[in-house]
Amino acid sequence: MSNWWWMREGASSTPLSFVLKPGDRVLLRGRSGAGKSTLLTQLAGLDVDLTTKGAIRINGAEAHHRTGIVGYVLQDPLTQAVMPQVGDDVAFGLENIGVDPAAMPERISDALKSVGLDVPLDTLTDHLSGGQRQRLALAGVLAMKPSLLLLDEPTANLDPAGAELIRNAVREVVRDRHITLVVVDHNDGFWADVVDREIVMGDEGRAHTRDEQRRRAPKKPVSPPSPSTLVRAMNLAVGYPRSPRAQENLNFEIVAGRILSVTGPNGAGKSALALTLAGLIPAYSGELQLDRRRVPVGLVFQTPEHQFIGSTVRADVMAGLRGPRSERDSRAQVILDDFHLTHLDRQNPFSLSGGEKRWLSLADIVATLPRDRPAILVVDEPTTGLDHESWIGLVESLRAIASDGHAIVVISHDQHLVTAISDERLELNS
Amino acid sequence: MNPLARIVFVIIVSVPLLVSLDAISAGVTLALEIATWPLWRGSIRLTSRRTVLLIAVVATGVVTSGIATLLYGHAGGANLFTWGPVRVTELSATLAVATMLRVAALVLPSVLVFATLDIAHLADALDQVAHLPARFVWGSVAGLRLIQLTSTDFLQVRFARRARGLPSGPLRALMPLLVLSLRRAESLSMAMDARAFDPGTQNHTGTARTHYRASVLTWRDGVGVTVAVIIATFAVVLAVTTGEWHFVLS
Repeated sequence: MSNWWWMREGASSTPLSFVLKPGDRVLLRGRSGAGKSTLLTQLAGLDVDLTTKGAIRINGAEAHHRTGIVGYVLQDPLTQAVMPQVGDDVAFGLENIGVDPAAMPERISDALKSVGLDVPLDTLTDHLSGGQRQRLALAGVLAMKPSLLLLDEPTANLDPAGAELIRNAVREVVRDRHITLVVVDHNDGFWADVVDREIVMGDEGRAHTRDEQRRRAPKKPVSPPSPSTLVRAMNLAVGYPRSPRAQENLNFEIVAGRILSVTGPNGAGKSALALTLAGLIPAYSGELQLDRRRVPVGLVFQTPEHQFIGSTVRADVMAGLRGPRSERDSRAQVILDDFHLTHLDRQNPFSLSGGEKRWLSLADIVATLPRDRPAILVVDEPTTGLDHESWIGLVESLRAIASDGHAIVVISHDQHLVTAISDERLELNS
Repeated sequence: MNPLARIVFVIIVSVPLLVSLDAISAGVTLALEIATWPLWRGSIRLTSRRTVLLIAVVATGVVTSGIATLLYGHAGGANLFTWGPVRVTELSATLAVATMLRVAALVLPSVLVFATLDIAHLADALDQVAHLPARFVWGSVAGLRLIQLTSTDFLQVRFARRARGLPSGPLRALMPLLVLSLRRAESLSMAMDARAFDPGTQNHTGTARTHYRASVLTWRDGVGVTVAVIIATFAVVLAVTTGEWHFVLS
């Protein structure tokens, strides 16, 4: 067994070569759609059918021969749990690699302990919070004692405390067990003390230049009469129907041309507040002064897939537009250009990369904002999956939208975003 | 008892009840079923909420079937009560009692067994005892999780359509839901593969798949199934010897 990793990757148009030695800890970064997830999948030895060029060798053998144990946590936390109960779920991987059942209870409890998931083994996986799910997924692969650990945006959608828990667990475990780590994340600073180098995929920086950023600003500012209050909430309580109220006694104002950020831990009712503002679920109690006929509310959902309607990117942008065909066509073109989606316009929205999906979901809703009067744009976790350039692009886009006179409500765990963009802040407690 | 043995038990004791209409075989079966409770106690967890639900389900089935047979069942013997199409006779009253006993004897064990069945334990049994293909068994268990996810997706898709001012009826949400479900299924199967799920072929460690929880048949299961056969036989024999046996198709 020769102890080296070597690979070359051609799927992302730019060939990539690198060598991973045992114990290497690497952050994999790159533009949305550069092929980061594809690369991880191939490193895990899955998906050998994809049209890729080059070869990936692990311990001298083709990756799909799977000569060592690879622990791979995929991007979608909802489908990471395979079994109905926590204990069974961690056991699943152990069963598959033929671990002696007598040794399983200890390995299961060790794995759960190492990620700080302290719940009874018969807890239903469906009842776990987002952060707990991520930790369970991590425990599930750690129990298998992998020599290579692959993590695809393991802290996406987690509150800062939850994200730190995951990162610290990863740091401890790769150090203690001398595991080779490849983690995909856009937040390089966050992983700085875990990884020892970075690999950047694709030609980062090519897509969004400063000039293009500026073009994202809609052409005609709507100039509101004066800073006007669009929404006033008094003693507002929100929550999903038929479940306990998530948050009460909210008092805030949403002002035209201003950006309000809403932060708080997972489960604090941030998304419920977004749905309430958009009029999709009723307020529990309290008063919400908002006339949606006068001030439309556009909501960008946390999961982009939920809002895709069209069979192509262009159709999806046009789905929410009203008016004569020619007008809708030209409006859609402007939006596609502004959001750098023109080259993808014939693609199916579901086939886009994580970051591109997020970008399209924003474009969809921005397209529907009126251009002659202020509206409210609510964005739920807009930076998840965005690469560095897109992140900057997003901040500038949101600023441009606000300076056109629209009010923006940003729901986010992303501390950098909140710091960079907020005029007002609303902090929810659990 | 093993989940599979429990299901076999229910099937065996149900056979006489499905082919005969008499009160004797039904009454005997019901009485003996209740008498076997000690066999079950260890493997069925009855919370107070479950008990109430169980009683409610059995009672509803018994009462509605009884009333229906009483009022509209085969007429025969003396008329006890007539009102429009309703005709209560001695025969329909007898049949009503038999029906109620039968429904109780059928529903009680089925509800008890199926309501308390743990999916993972059943899968263990199907995999290790019945030797069904592991890919099929565990794929199904994982697939069940998609039901929960799909209901969430359904809600969100309809919200998203309404948010864009588009019609958001349940049918409109079906197509995107289908696409989403297929993608979830794909992602789920990839998650299983990523954790080395590859039954059928020997994996790279050269060992076969092992089992976290052993699912085996014990003497209890043997006793359980034997008891089920005895109950069924006894019910038939008693009904036939007393002359009450009433074959469904005759």
